[in-house]
Amino acid sequence: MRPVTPAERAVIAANLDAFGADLLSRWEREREAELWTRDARPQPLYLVAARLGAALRASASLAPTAAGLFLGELDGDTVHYSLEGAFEIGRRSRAGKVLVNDKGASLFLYGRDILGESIRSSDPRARVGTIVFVARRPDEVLGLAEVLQPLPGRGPSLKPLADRGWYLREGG
Amino acid sequence: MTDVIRIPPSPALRQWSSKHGFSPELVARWGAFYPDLPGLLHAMQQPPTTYLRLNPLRGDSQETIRRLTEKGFELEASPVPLTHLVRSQPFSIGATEEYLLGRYFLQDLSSSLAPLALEPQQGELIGDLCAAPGGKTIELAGLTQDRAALLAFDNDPERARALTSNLDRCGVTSAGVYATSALEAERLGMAFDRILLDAPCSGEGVVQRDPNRRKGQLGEYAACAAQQAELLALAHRLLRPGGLLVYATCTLAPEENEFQIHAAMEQHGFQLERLPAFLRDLRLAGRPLHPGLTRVEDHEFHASLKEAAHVLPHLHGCLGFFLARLRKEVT
Repeated sequence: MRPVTPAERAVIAANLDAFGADLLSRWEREREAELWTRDARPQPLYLVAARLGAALRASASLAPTAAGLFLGELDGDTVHYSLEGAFEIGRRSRAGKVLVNDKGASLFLYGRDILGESIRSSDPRARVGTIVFVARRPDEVLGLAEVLQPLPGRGPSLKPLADRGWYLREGG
Repeated sequence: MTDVIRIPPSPALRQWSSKHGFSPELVARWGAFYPDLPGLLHAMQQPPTTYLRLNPLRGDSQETIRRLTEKGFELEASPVPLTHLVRSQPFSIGATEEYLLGRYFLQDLSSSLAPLALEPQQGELIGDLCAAPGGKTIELAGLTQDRAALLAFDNDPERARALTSNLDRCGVTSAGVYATSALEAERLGMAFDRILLDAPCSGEGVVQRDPNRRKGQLGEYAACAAQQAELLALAHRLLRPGGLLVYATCTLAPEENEFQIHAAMEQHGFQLERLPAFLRDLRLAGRPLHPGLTRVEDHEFHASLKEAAHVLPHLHGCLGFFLARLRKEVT
């Protein structure tokens, strides 16, 4: 594992700009953390507390299996967010969210499609094929979904891509 | 280490053990080492209590309690901060949205005492040598406001995966996971400020959760003890001079508790310290923690072993546990 390079950081920052100006810098300051990655394709991205980063730098002889909070993967110029990446972004940004009611949230956490009737509000920029953050409360993203039809729509409108119910089904 | 202590069971005790599915040798030992054997055996046959520990890294604790209460969960604050007894649950407490959001994790009350005994501080390098599934690691992260460096080891790949998942779910940025034996930690070439060693053990204290342990075989205890001794020696090597170790098990067997601590003091020069005042003053089910044993049969231990502590199911209303706080010499 290693800290991201300046070039990698610039790509990640550009991706996060869609959720608010300078989000990455604010994020790093608030959490006193930095981004780390591994040499792989795609590259996993981790938010690593500063003290842990210092320890990892001093211990190159034994690499951890994982470190910090897994935020997603960098694939070329695109970041694909993990559940925790989406959660952390959702705490700081209104962009890209679809708010659902209790029923929609419950179904989503079972990995089921969200019906248009369950949608309370959505980012106007959400288009068919785009990936949105699903939440019941504005600052608690429950996962990511793909838009199936113009929102809110009727019937299946959002297809789950990753939901926090995964932690029960497979997480351990 | 000495041989496992064998206490001949009386005929009455054999009869009772046979009726209730316990090993008579274990029951005889418990009666010799701890007070109120009938009470202990009664407690061991009860369903285990369920506790949750709130995660300060993910949301306001009072808000979490409010939300769970609205959903019909009946919670009771325990004497340990952030830890609540789950008195009743309309559905599994481990399946709520709040659980999935990492606002709390399920951890027995006694288990939560080990990180508290360690008193971790921000900015420190802290080792968790047998970490999976991660409840104590998450607690350490919370106690240090996610600003320490926590290195967590577990040599079972599947358990290490669960550890990583739990750390992510709870929003921890300060932990590194090593899916390898803690023995590999020496390759890091680091000197830890503090180490938590919740050692693999015979698990006598968790019979309520795993009834198979009623039939524990004394012949297996020597292997547990050998591994524990190896891990204690490792912890001594990993700690910086003056560093602190909390050794914990969930067993009642003195061969895995007091014998280990006594040997660690003799062989490695550890000093046993008093537990923090919060734990010395703690009352569970209205009772203080039970002191460590200073004598078992013909074996006398360091007098300071009384500063170690037992959590006993029949006295404290939670699973059995043992804690000792050890300081590595400065020079």
